[in-house]
Amino acid sequence: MARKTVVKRQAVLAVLLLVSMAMLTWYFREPVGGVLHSTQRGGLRVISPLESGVSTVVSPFRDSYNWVTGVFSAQGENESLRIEADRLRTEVLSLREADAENKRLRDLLGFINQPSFPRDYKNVPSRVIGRSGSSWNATITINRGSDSGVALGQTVVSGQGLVGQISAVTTNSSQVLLIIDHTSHVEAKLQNGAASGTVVGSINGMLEMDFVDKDQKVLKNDAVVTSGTGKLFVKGIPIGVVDEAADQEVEYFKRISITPFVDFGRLEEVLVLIPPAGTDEAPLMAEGAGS
Amino acid sequence: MTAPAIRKRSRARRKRALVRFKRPGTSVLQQNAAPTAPAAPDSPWFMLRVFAILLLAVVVQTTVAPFLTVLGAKPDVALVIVVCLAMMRGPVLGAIVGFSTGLLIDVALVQTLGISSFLFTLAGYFSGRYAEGVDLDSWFPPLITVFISSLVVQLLNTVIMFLLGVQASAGFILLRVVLPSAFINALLAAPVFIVCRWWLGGDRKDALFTK
Repeated sequence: MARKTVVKRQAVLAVLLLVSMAMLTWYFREPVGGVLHSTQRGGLRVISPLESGVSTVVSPFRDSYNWVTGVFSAQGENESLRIEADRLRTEVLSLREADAENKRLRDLLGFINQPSFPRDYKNVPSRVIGRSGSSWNATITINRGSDSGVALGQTVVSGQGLVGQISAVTTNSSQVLLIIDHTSHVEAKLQNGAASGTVVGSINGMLEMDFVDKDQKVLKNDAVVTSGTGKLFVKGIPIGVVDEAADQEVEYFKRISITPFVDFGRLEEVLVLIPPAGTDEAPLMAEGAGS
Repeated sequence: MTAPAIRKRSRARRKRALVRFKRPGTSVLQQNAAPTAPAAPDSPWFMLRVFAILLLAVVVQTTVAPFLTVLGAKPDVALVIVVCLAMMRGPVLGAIVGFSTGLLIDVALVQTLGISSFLFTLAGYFSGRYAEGVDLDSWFPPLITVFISSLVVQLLNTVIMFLLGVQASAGFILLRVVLPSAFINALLAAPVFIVCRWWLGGDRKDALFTK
């Protein structure tokens, strides 16, 4: 092969690699509103309708696949669910009693006008149209954007509990950083008030509650909810239950494994919680999202 | 013409058609190549075809691939397509296609711009270089090239992620991300190669800077 040809080839490779490196460096250095970030959002605005279309077309096949895998796992889960149902039946009875008692106490204490769940928030139902194709990021793309009032930092929930937070917005779609992503941090507490800490995600999709005081008593199956500290997430949204509480001597804090309520692999519809106008908006955890 | 003569003639015609279809000495990949209506390598029509397949790769990567998990790892359909195109059309087109696909992936997944384009450019260029010296009529070269490219891209990506401060067990990454992903990508290599070959009208390595 002619030497000139080899040089041309290597020049093309070098130019492309240099452009990639330059983009990488520039992307890191510029603010979220910078040129590259804006261009990226513009590109996403073009691609998301395509994703939405393909997602609709493949959804019957996906549902069939989920159904088949669900049948296999359901056989194994059947027995444990039966035991769980018995336990829950007992728990429902005691909860009803506790609920009645709670109402009486709330009336007495005057808390009835200060509900923990933000009832004045607007819910925007959204459909999941895309998911992160990379093993390194846990994100989903939803079919609602700034046209529907969605903005960076807003909390996203499903019927089971906390899903994540809006990390990028275009006019017609948004990206949600799931709480199982390794860059996600959620201020949380045990529902019984016994302990508080930060729920962090990881590459392997597991949730852990870190920075929990070692003196705090944590029991398996204790429910974990958002604490609302720092106003990053809406307060009181269920996250999961305690799976295991490790107490290692070398660590300053207790680390708790959490089983999330939400099945992130099968998310189809979610709700974006939009705060009422004039509310102090949640700060953006999305500054480095996806980076 | 008598009836036995007609039967004999039609048998001979069928036999000739079968011989043409089988093309003795060619592989399954080559038989499926269907080199019909080849487009000129540098024509706008050809580039449009390449762009269409890249866009499809990105959309499939974000909508379908996340559900096809093996041991928790997802297939990298976009990378498989880049490697296959590079093997068919040489290193320069491979590098350009790799760069473009990586950029689209970074945009679609709202990732740091530049990481995927850097890795896919390398994969495209070196896959194209490797393919210059091998026989593409066998199923083995696409499979092994996709497998090795996936391994290298995932390992480099791991290094970049560690440099960016991601904390994860190296054993977990190797066993649950890098290796399963490379295996599932290798399984996709042959069908994707056949589809790409059909879509682009066969191999033509003389597209850019190969002479």
